[in-house]
Amino acid sequence: ATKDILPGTPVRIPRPDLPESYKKRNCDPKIMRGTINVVPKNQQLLNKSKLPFGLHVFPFGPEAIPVVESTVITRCRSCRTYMNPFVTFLDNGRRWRCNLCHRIHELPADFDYDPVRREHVERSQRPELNSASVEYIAPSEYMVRPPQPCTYMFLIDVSRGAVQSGMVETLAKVLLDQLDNLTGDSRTQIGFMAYDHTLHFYNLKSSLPRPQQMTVADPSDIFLPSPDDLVVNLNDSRDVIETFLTSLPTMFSNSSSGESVLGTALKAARDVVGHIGGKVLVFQHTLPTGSVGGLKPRENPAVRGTAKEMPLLQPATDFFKQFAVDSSRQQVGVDVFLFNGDYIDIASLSSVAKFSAGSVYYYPEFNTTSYPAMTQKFRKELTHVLTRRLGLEAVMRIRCTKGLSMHTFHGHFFVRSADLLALPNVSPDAGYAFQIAIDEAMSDNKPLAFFQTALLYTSSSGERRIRVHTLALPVTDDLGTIYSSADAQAIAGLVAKMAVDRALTHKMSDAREALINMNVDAFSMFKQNYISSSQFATGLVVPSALKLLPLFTLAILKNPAFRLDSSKLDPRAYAMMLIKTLPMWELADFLYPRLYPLHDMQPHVGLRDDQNRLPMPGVLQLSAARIQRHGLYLLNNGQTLYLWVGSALPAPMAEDLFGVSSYADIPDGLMSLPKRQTDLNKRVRNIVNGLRACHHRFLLLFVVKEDSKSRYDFLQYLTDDRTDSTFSYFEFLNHLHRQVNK
Amino acid sequence: EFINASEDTDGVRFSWNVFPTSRIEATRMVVPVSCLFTPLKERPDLPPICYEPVECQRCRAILNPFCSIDVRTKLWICNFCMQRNQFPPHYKDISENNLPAELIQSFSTIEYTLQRHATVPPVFLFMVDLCMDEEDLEALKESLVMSLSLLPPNALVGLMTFGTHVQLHELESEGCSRSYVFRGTKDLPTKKIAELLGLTPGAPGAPKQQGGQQNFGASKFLQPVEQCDMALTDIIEELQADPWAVAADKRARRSTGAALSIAVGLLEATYPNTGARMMLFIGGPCTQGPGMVATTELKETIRTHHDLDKDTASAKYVKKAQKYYEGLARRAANNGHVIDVYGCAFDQTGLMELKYGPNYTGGHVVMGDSFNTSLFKQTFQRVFSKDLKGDFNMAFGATFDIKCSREIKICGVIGPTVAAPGSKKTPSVSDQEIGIGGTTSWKMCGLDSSTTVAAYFEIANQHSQPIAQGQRAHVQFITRYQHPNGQMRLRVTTCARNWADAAVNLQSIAAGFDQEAAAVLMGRIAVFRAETDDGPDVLRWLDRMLIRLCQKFGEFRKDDPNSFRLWDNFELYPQFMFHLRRSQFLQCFNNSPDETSYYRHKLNREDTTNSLIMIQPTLTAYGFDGPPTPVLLDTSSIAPDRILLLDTFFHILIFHGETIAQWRTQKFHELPEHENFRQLLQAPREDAAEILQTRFPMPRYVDCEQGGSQARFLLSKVNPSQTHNNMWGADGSGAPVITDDVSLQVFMEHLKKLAVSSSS
Ligand SMILES: [Zn+2]
Ligand SMILES: [Zn+2]
Repeated sequence: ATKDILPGTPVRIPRPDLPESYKKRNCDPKIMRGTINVVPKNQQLLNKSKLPFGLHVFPFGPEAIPVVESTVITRCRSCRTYMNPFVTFLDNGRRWRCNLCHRIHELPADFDYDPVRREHVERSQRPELNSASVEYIAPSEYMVRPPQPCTYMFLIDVSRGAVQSGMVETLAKVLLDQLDNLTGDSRTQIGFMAYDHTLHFYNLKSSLPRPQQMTVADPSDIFLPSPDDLVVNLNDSRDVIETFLTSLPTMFSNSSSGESVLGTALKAARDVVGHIGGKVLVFQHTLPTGSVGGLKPRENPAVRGTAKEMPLLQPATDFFKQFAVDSSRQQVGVDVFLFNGDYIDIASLSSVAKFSAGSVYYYPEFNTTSYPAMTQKFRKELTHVLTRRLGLEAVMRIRCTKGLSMHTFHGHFFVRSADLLALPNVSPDAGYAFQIAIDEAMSDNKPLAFFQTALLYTSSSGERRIRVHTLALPVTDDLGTIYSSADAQAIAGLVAKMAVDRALTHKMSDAREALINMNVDAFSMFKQNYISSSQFATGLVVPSALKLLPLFTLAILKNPAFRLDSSKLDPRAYAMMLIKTLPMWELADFLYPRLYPLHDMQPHVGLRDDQNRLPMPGVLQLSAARIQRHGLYLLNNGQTLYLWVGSALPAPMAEDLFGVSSYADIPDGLMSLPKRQTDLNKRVRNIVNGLRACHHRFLLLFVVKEDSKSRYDFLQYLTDDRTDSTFSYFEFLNHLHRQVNK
Repeated sequence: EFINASEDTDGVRFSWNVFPTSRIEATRMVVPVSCLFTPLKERPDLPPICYEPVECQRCRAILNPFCSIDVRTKLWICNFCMQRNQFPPHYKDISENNLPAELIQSFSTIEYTLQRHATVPPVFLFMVDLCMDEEDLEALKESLVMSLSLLPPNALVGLMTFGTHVQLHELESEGCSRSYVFRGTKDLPTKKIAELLGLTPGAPGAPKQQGGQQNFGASKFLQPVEQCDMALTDIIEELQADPWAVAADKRARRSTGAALSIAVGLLEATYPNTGARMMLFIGGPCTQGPGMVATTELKETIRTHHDLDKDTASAKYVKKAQKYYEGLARRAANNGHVIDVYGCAFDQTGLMELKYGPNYTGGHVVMGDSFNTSLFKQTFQRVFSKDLKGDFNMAFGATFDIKCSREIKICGVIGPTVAAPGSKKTPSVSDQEIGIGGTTSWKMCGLDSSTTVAAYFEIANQHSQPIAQGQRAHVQFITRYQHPNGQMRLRVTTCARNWADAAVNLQSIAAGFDQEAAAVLMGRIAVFRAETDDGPDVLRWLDRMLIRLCQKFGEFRKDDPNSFRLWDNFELYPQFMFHLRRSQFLQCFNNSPDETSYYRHKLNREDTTNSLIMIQPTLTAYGFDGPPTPVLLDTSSIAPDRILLLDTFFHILIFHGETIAQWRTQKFHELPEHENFRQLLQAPREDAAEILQTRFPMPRYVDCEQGGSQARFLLSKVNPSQTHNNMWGADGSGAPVITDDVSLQVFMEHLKKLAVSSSS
């Protein structure tokens, strides 16, 4: 038996070792987080460490960051770096030195003057010198055209299956409820298209007594039936829009069409909003049909986990990628909501979101009647998407200290030029990651290196803004410092992203091997350099900063994205998409879920304290060995919650939590907790709701009884344990050990 | 009197009421044996016959009063093919005193209601051009909404609109109004249209098949007016002008051609061989896609007669467009569907190209300046007028067969009709084709009580085969049609005419000459030729025919024009020809090609009386010295103290003489002491109002005075007996007309000269 190596509390995020004054002002690791908290002096040293070097970035996530109100934006004239807390002032503050390229510039004459308040400002008060994250309000030279209004184009699959599942009805209701809350301002525009075997456009002109549906029946020859009014101002046309949404649930109630010409609808939608830019939201239930972007079922259990699976995880057609790339140029982003219980080809459909910086949402087995919890998930997530912050016509650039460069990017975007990412819509939920190369050795006299992310976007109220984050890392020429500065969780996150790419371009087995080899290589190198033969130990020796890496790696190998057994194409593709897009703080849980014991909580746990914080129970390693038969456990992977109920659950707990007299009376397949006034019930609900509040995706709750058929849904997450085809954690450590000693 | 009686009872007017016995003689009589026939001549007195007609087994002619019957053996002899036929079993009780209606002499015209056919309500598809100015569109919408209350309640109705694109509107809409939109530049085959509209079984989105209905799915677009009038009223009232911007130097993009193609296809797919009307309302020419008549560039003018003659750039779309619309018209006709064109605009709307629709299918053509005029509004209402019995004055999907005695063959017909699809050449078909020939069966998709066809015959009998004394020539018209109440009906008119040997009895043949009918019949041939040949040739042909007729039926000494005198019954004929020659039917001067097409369309379907008014307008004089009197259509009829009422069929014009006009300006009629002047002013107005109230389409009404600019309407019609060429002549009365036309007198003198000339 292995001892607990998890600390019991959430994994601590290591911080760069910097002078105190820098530490204070350095970028929040939630926003920018390196896989190693140092910059190796040169590529040779990095290579030697065998560790991946990269940054996780969550640029648009945090809500409240200081805003620079000055109209003057001070930037390095040679490398375009924005003023940041790490620049140095010279000549009594008249000049400054860029911390990225080290060039010296004059400060603008009015740098210390606030034109809004018309007064002198203390330099020490300036936000951009105090905070690593600031937002500038951009003047007109940052615009190629007037800021676009928030523009929503809803593309609704109204094929038979879509209508019968209740998807259309639920969608209409949520939209109707959220019209007042839609992100945007008085300029917000909205439009709708529905499609089955034909395309239905809606003229929503404000002067019309009711909306006009215009059907263009020939999907092979689509044109816009009206020059205007297919997308309209939300305020002006509010009545017509409400009429439309009110009638939408019944409009297609007789639909008998089994087809769904998504590709055609997408093209038409872009024709409608292309000149404005905006957000296209696709609600797809049926596997798309038609000559444009039509898809075929590809599920084939026989090839699961084999080399033949790889092409099935790639898009079946270039159409969606090409469409997204073209849309990106027109500042149109696409979010995709997928509903089918059967195969819907996420691998193909997610590419439309991938290259247009959109999001993908997935509701397997969606049915309003038979699966109310999934309906709730859709309602909550759609509401979130409609009301969350929205950045439009955005571009993101990462600058770094001379000698460093970004070479591989992870996330949803289109790479417009070497270091410029196009994000027609930027979502506050989206995470990105970058791999870093050291092209030139760091100069000897500069102990620090810097990374600066600049996100230029149009806010939903029509302001052009620039969000700037700057991260400082110390430079080192010592291999040991690299190992001691490594961030195991961040490394796991980055290698998982790299493994997705590898699985899609090579073979799944290559990706899995690469994950294992990264451990083997790094630990071999560590052993070679830091363990003398005299210290030769019986077990695997790893740098302490990386002690969790094997645990995380093993979990990654067992993630639906990479595991060898029984993963259908869609869940696999969906997991891969999540790995590539989740911000690091969520990805950590997705890769190694948190398991909370709930049956013996400390008195303060699960109850809000006076600062409204919710103390959580300590976390357990993911092993059946940690599960007791009389226990109650909650597992959270950032997507789903599983409440595990041990078969020996004491009757009073069954009574307190579920209001039933014993374990046996707890119904199977429960997806919510009854609302009871007992202490246990309240605390568990607090915890469930607290976890839900943290995540932008709505966490479905599955109550899993130990002896129920669905227990494997939970047990699959116990990744420390052996499964039929894969190591237990112990075996994995042994395997690594053997490899390291070879 | 015989002529009038025949017209009243049978709706028939023959050019010759006594037929020459041989082919040679018939040819020498110049005007062919022919007739104007009004198949649905209003006959409120006809008894309802609710059984099937009895047909000759051999030639399928229908039992009629001219058949010889044997009540004893229950046999009847067909008067066309001489076949002996057994009466059907249920005629077993007939006797001389107990004859079925069809054998009674006075029922030479009889109408059967065919019981075996299901009654089907007619279909009305409104097709509305959305590229017109707001005022017109609003007026049109109002008329359309109003018409819903005029339609038969069970009639199926639908709505299509078009501009840049074509929209077919759904009628069952809750919350949203719904339509299918088609590209305005595309001509789609029927199969594709049906597929796209979900009208074909198995098509995605098609409703599940219930029974084997042919038109399932069509109820989205076509519904009984009593069921959908509220929804349709809403949809019509919500119609807005085509939303696509039109630059100031451009014409709107108007997809008339594509719209018509989709309408024809829709009805073809859903209601073939059922009465249906496509009612096309246009405010301008088709400017894109199939059937394009003009470009969207305003600087490129729409073709004029000049462009057509000189084949200029503006004329380059004509042939293609005509071919396109002709194809659609033929399909519609074959399906039994009617195409109406209501074109209201100041410029041309492309009627010259569109005319095939109305001409082949018996549809209406209405031409006006604006939909916001009483001319359009009144006329449109009259489309839905009812007869004395309260039935709509419209019938659908008629087939029209002619049977004739063996001595006679059929050359063809001229009228709003096409040869029935699949019709075969029978022995009655003449090789000599006049109009639409090669068949004895035609299709008339839309017709009303005044629709009149001209039928042309050839006397096939050889001179060597004398016709037995007492034998008569028989012609039978069989019209099977869909009554507006949905019943299928069959009307039979059988005519008998005497034979006469022209060699010995030319007088009796001449006595049977109907110069009015003959003028109209020749007019139709002339127009038919003008539509296909060149104008000047037609005029020369008319002249040649007139001279030959004068030679045949005139008395004269060779080379002495002064000796020339026409026989009775013929004396008005040259005058008709004179007016026909200078009428708008054959002279294009001052008319657009659209107008020419319109005038010709009307001449092609009106009855003898109306046609004659068109050829030679009537002029009535109102004065203090007596009751209104018809006066010569001559400049000499213009006088300062007279009011003239001119009726050209298309125009009603009241012309006030100089003095009258002055008095009117001074408002004498408002003074009690000038009551008789008030009455004089009122009289022509009342007469005009009567015409305006009944005629279809409503004529343009002009009130003018001598010397006023509007007076040119009158001056262009009257015989220029006094022109600036001879205004200093001896007479001195009347008003001079500035024209280079020859006057009737000059024409007659010339005619006499040629007729008596030994060299011609
Ligand atoms: Zn710089
Ligand atoms: Zn017969």
